[in-house]
Amino acid sequence: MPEAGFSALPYDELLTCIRCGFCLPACPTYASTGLETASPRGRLALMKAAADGSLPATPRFAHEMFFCLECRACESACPAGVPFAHIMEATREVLHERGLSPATASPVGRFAMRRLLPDQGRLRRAVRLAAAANRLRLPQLGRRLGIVSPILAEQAAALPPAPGPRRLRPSYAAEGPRKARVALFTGCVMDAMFPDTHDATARLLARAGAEVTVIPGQTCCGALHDHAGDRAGAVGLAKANITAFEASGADLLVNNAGGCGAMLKGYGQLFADAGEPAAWQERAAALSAASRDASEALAELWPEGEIGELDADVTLQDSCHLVHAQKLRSAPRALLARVRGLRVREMAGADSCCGSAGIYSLTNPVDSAQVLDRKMGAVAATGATIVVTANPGCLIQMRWGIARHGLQQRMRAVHIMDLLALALARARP
Amino acid sequence: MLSDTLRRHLRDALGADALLESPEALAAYAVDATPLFAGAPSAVALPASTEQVAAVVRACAEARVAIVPRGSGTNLSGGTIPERGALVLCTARMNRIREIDAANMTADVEPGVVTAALQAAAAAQGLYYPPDPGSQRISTLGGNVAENSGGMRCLKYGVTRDYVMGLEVVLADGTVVRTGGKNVKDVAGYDLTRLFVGSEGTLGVVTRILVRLVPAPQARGTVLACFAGIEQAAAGAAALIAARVVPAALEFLDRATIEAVEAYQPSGLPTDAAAVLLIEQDGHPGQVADDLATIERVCREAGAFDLRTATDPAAAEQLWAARRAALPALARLGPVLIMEDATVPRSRLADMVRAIDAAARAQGLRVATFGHAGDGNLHPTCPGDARDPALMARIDRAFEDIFAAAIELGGTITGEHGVGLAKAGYLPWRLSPETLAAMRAIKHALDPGDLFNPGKIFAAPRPRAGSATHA
Repeated sequence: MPEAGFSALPYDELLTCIRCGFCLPACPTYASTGLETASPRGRLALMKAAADGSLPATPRFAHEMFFCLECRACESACPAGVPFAHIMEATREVLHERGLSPATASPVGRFAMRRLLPDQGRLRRAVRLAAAANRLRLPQLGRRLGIVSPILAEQAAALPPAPGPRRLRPSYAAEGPRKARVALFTGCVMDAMFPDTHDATARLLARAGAEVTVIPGQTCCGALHDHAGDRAGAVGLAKANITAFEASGADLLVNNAGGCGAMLKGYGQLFADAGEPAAWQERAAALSAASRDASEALAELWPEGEIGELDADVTLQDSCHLVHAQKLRSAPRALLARVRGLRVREMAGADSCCGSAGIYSLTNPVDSAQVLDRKMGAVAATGATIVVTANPGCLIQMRWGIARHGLQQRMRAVHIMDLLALALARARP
Repeated sequence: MLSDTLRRHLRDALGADALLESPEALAAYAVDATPLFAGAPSAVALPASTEQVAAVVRACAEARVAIVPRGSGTNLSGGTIPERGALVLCTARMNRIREIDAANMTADVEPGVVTAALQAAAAAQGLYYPPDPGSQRISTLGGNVAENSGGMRCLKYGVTRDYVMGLEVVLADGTVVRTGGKNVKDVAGYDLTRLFVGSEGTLGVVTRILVRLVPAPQARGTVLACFAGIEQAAAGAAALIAARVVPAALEFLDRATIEAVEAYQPSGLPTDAAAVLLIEQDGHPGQVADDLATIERVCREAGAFDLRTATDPAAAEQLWAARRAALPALARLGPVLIMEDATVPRSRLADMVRAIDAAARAQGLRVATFGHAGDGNLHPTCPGDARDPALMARIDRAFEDIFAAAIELGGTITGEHGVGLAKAGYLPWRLSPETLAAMRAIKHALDPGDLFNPGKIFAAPRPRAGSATHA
């Protein structure tokens, strides 16, 4: 008999794996370890064994489950359409309830999940504090004193400086006839670290003909909670976002973070899985249906013509949850192709995870660095001077990778919305 | 569970991180790509060198613990299912391409090198490694050698066997032997290379592989031909050979496959076609152009009602989309997918397709068939569900009829997947007792203690349940 929690795993979905192994070459942790246990097929075998009752919920089992980046590249590679992340999240929920989820089992993790991410004011102050500590070179000092691990010090040093005065306005009027009313989803880390990217996104959407509102009352999307197995925490945040979006009266909810976007589009499924009342399930599904990635919304509202001008060599690092979860592979590439003068150099394995993976770079920094090092080889080989991303985690990770590989003089990491806004500004002085 | 002594010997040889014994690791290495099969390994060893492989073999031989050599575990015959508490010896860490020798057109690789990685390394030097099993993006050369893997290009280019020039193998007593070499001509002694190719890990552990490469073809062209009847398609395939065209690929999809593909990911195939041939030719541009013209003419004369030709890669990819979608489309029809590889001389292709349909009808099943028409190598494929024993029994009976029919048509029970566990009971249908005895004698000579991959290839004959037509 399976342990109580594991009997709730979606068994029909577990059975859909035909074990062909086609997911293995797509899996970054398989690439860095060569271990079947660290591959999607192996993880499915483990989860099935747990559901069958032959593997108990132990710390080692939890370690294997949380070693997964949940980048979902395996889902794109899978011929049988196994909903890997859906099964993994059900498994992680069981582990979370047993106190075996690293992110929610530690006091620091619990504080971050419950008090920091959902509170934009507190998160902004924390980001400013971290930036100030960085200016004072405290991480390096901590490392020398032996109280900060070398890898954490390295990660901290690569964080962006504190954002300047907040440019993001409550609303932006549509340029030309109004094509849509858009609510801008601001999220947690994106908003605290990269608020100017929100301003760039809003200006681009306004240029495309959208009336943009930064809706009050919204909060973190809950993706980090869901990936850590805290489904209840994710549902709580989702309800706040649903209420805020409904109150705005907007047609679309647009985000510029691939991870948040996948979560917002998954609210319908989340509420169904959590057994929420039918009315809430409908409201969640409605938000999911209205959700768009910024690149998707721009392509929809502003389908053709040049988007500014920029003389540069760039390469795109796909956001995993944009390309594998939201299946948006061509949308960001199509936008880059519309920038005059821009030379897009496709990297090998652009749709392979950079190792950021939500909070993975914090819970598994050494494993994350291994994935990152492989990625930076591909980035550097393109000869690009800008690596374009579409998610805050990727942006932070790419900054770390650039610093870690001594590439600061050669390249920088830029969010696609900032790049497009820059191109537009160049062309429209 | 390993004994303390064996564990100590293995750790001394490998280092602690290359010996896995956790319940999680044992669960992950209990299965391969073969539906319905699972074993229970006692441990997983991840050697990084020939010396480490030899040490593992010696330690296991002394402790009388069997060894299952494994690459990426993508075989479809249960060939890497650990039986009798065997230790899984996984070659994933032996994955270096040691040399591409352009002058001699050879590649020297470790067994864990992924097939596609070798193909890419060869292509970077204008060379070509043709064998292309369906799992080439993750299958290993070691696995390809063990299974003598085929693929889509075998009619023109041959199978893995035709490319292996030499091997390094660790034998059951831990000694290391080297066979063959870079010589195109070399008749010094028995051809042990060919003996080990296709031996499914039952005779030794392959630790180095020397393969032959060929010049990369300069041009390619693809023709897709739709037929209203299976006979017409089969006649078309036969007429191509009669016209002295040897295509690089000659693939076949039946109506059930076409319908599944179109329902899953429409690729524009006419669903009123009873069969589709997908024909690719490669080589010198002039020759490719000539052959494409012949292929079109022959297919039209054979009754093709829809012909599409592509010479640029993007358009060719469009034509290949349906073939590539066959597995995903069929995989979505049920939780497990039973995919076999009954093979007949190519002149009996239509007979075999008819026999497959009859066997499926007799059990009230829908079996989709696709495969390599040029090789007479078909993949009758049937979705199943392990939770439905009655359904699985019907599928089992249908495939029994299919294998019997293949043998009656002068064919074989497996063209490219191997015998392993899945076909072991059928092997005596295909081979005479004398032939099997000769094979067992070889096995006994090289592995008297049954150390390597026990339970594979040799098993008691499966009784023929359905009819008494077969002896």
